[in-house]
Amino acid sequence: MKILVCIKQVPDIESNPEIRCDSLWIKEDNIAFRMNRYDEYALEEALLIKETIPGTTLDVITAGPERASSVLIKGLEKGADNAVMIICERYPLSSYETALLISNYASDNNYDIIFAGVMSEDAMQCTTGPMIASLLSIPCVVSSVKTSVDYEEKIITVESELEGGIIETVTLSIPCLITVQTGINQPRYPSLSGKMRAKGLKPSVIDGEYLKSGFNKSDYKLGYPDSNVNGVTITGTSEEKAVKLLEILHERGLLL
Amino acid sequence: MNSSGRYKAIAVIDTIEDKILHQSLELTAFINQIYQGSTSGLLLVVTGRNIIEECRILADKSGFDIAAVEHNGFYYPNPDLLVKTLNVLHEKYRPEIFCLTNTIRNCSAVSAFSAECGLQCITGIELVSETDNGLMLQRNIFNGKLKEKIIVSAQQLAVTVNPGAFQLKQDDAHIKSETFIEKVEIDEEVSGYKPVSISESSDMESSLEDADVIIAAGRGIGKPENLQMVRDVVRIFNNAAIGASRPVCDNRWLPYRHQVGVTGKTVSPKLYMAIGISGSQQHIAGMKNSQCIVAVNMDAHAAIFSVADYIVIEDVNVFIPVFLKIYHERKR
Repeated sequence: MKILVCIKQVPDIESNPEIRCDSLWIKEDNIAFRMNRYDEYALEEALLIKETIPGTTLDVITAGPERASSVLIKGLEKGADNAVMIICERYPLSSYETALLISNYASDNNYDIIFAGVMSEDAMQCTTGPMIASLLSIPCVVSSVKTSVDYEEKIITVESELEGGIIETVTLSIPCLITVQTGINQPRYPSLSGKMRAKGLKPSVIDGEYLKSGFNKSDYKLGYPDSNVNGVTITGTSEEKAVKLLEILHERGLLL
Repeated sequence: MNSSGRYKAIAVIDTIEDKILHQSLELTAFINQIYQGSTSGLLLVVTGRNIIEECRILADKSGFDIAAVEHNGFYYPNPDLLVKTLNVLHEKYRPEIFCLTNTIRNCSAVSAFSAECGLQCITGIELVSETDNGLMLQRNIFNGKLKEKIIVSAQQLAVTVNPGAFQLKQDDAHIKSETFIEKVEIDEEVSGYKPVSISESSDMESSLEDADVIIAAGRGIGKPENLQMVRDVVRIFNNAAIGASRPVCDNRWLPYRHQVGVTGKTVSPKLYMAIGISGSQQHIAGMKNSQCIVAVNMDAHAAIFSVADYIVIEDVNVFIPVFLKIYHERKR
């Protein structure tokens, strides 16, 4: 079995990003970058399959600037066999550009399953995975919360989460693409031996600049949300704030 | 954008098990805003196994033309077949815009469809405005901490629109004496994608819907042991229940039945108190209609504050114990 996991490096969402002066991206100094959380679950799902089906190879891939290779190293440390870095310094890529770069690579490599996170935490589009599947003409299911592989029959059964807590069960023929929802498993930390093994491995590098123009993101600008004009900020010391809040809740007749 | 076809806009109305999900009719309000009060060029698409009757009722009620797409595979949501349907309609009408409600299935369908046909794809639209440079569509990024404002330049668009972002108004109703229902045929092609069944998640039973007060915990509480202080807050209110953000459930700190948000429960209690919740777009969608929202978070930029009535910028693990202590002192 051959598995590919698509990983994106994202800015740490907890830090408060400032918009760059061209309004196209954020200021990167003082921002930490890490693996997209949804992709961590996708990678773990692939690692679990690799552990149950002998002879499985697991590759990780990302497209982006050189700094993004750190998420591939993390993937190797966790147990991936190979890593592929598609370097594209032009950033951010649109999901269609990312999908083109990854599907171009995947089409020559006969993967049985391609995993991706259901969305990226920064762009929040839920589009790259299904676009890759579409470009490769393979079936795709989104938002998996359970994946069972019958490799003999080449069938995968996926429990896929819809809005409102509804679960749809879907079967897919191999090859296919699955996007993974959080909570499906518990992503592991790299083991010491995994870290040692990864030291001997290097991502293979593909130049992604061949995409050039023609697939540019359309005209866009980033902005800050309008500040909340309706909300009242309760001020003072912690004690003063607590007193004020209790008075408000009391007036509304909510407290016991 | 321009289109010479009969329909300028196509909106896909969601169905499950041959029942129309009426929230997706909000798409007509979105189209109304795009075309500045005109919805005359709008075609609604309704999919299902036996859907014609539902379509007749909807046509009479809404006054819109409808394309009814019947196929056994449409009994459950089926983005794979939906892509084929959108392709057929694209070939036939070349509309300027395809719009769908922003659900995870619909995102899958529009992205596959737009990749196939070369349309510009934008998901999660929450705002539309007309600018000097043309039509501007706005969406959330970075968990709502930033916005992306996109000026539309493409001739054709495929988009998803956030539920609740465009409210249906009574006077939006589009009155037309005769509506047209068209049956659309989809090829019976063998596909690798097969929906098998649908079920409620077994873990979804909860008292959240009936509670007057929901005290919801987020990742900001730091560790599962700190849920105790959240439970202690629950106890000082009448008819209160504990809620949670998705990361809290993903970390197994609380079962998923406590999850508030798009993939969990949608709630509107008298009081929603968010403790250490940063406020992802998915979470906010599930609680923004609460009558009173109190948010406690130490990050002054937390997105949850954008919907809060009362904002407390504090470390929850410092503030909540103080809050409880003062409550109990005053009670004595």
